[in-house]
Amino acid sequence: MGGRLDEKVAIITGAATGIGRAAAKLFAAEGAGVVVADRNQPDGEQTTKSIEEGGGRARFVNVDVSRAESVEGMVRFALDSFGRLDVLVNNAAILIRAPRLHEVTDLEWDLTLATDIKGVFLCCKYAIPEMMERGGSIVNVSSTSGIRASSASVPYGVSKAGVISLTQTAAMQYAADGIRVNAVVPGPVDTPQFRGSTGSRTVFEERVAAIPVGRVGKPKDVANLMLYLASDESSYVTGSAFVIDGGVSVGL
Amino acid sequence: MAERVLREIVEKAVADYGFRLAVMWGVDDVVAASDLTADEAQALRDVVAPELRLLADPVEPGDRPRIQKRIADLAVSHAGKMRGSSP
Repeated sequence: MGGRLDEKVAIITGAATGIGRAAAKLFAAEGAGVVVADRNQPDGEQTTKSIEEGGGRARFVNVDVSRAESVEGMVRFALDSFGRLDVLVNNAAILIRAPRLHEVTDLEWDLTLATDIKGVFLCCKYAIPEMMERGGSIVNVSSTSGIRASSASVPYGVSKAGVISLTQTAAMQYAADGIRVNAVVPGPVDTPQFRGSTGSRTVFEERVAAIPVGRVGKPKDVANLMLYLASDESSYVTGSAFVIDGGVSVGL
Repeated sequence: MAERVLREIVEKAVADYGFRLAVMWGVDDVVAASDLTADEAQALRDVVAPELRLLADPVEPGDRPRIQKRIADLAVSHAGKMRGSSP
């Protein structure tokens, strides 16, 4: 039985928990060899174990996406483990709450941009050369905070807007090489990061109650979109940003 | 002054899940950007990061002051012991 990612190899950053974990499991179930990349080693190894116990192929690598040598090592690890690289999912991110611009500290700004935008740049920089021979697909994770004002965090919103810009430019630069670059733009999704960013159960429930479709997104909802973009089914799609937010951003 | 910085880091990490992740999995980056002594930086690694891994997500606002004080006191105490045992 053919999987939608048979014979492909994917690196998924931030795959220890949440959307990244859901994508890692789904990609492996569809036949991909998956590199589970994260700084969170205990949960990353748990994701990997879960995939292997289900008959899938996965390896864990501890990576700091904000450091070039660490990212270079991650790509090398993928090649050593599976022999090729076809898909990169840039999912690793942090959201440090900093409600007003003048209250943002240098540390909050630097930590956020280091992971959320420099990390995407570095992962693309080192993965793209390994895709140039056979082509590939890069899926960058933005956020609805990157396409409209958000009270949650200035650095996070700036980073996520930057992810869309990087996506569009990279799509243009590498289309002729057969490398497609797209972004997913999630709204509220029931992940540790989203729950944590709300600050309390009450606020979480208020946010969920305001979602037009009547429920919070599941990590697998986003993983399904990532699967489409990673697979050859989306071979005519590049440079696009796909909002997946239960209707929040259009104010249904 | 650095003890105040250490307490502020703990308080922020308890209250803010994203910053908590930064301390838990990228403690060296936080240390590098902070005005901490070597003993306090070690307390962040030895005491604070493991304690943060045990917290709920999110820590409810009513629980924060108690948890922030407990972890900050542990960290300051640990830093003090390390300072005392230094040659």
